[in-house]
Amino acid sequence: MEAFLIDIEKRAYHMAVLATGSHADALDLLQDSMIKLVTNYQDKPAKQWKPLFYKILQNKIRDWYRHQKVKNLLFFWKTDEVEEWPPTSSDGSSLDTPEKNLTKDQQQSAALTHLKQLSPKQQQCFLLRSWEGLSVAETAIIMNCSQGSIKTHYFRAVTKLRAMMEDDHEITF
Amino acid sequence: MKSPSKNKNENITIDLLNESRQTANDALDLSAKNLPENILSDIARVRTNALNQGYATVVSKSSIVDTWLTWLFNPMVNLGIPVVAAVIIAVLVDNASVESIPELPLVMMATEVPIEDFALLEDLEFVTWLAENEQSALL
Repeated sequence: MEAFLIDIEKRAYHMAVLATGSHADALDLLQDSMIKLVTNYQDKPAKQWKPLFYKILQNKIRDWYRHQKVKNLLFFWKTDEVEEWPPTSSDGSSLDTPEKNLTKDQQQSAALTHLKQLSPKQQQCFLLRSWEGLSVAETAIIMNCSQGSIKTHYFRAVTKLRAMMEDDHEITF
Repeated sequence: MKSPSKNKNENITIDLLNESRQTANDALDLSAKNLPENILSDIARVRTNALNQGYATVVSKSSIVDTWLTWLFNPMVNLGIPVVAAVIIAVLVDNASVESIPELPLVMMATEVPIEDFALLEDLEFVTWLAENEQSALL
């Protein structure tokens, strides 16, 4: 179980931090999901842990959104501080020219920003389908919706990403 | 049947979508690979806490069940419960027999009762004692 969690924690953290925009909230969601998996599902076969964990995480993210909705309704005069996306240090050992590096870094940084701008369902659907490589059926079970909805969310996410990337100046495909 | 130019346009669109998807995936991979040390240590701490807490909950749940099952199948408990039940039943039955109301004494059923005995018969305690003695004499 520990090896599985070590393998999955970075991706799960990214899903949570993209959904919440907060490092602290992402860690809370990550910990709650891990606790639930270890407590209730460690007896299940290891191949079931990944979809189970992501289903738990998606449920926690959904609960977080509902909680935020109520919180914003009740305390509408309060404005929370927006935490920045965690900064990533780029790998300096590249043989490309400096100009090419800048373009690539810009593209990738812009891609992360655009991912944050997607709607929650499109964003999570893209992460599960494209980044994690889960099938339509698995993603539908995890996100608790139909396979048709998954296909729609995924197509819209990819289309929107492309449109946002093309809108950025000097970023060409 | 689609025209060749239309097919070509669709292929270009699919290629562009795949490229944007791949760019996003590469960005995510790079971000996951290059997470700062403080975030990595936070994630490791969260993982350790989750494992400790999860295993502690599993152990406490199983220990409660084990304790209950051990008590239920304990030979002393299995022998003791019927014995205790039998003792309780015996005490209850004995109390019931002691508290049974005795039949009326024969002298009260007689048509001619001496006057001096009549006063005695009005005392309930005396009548009860007389009835109990008659019963034990009959037994």
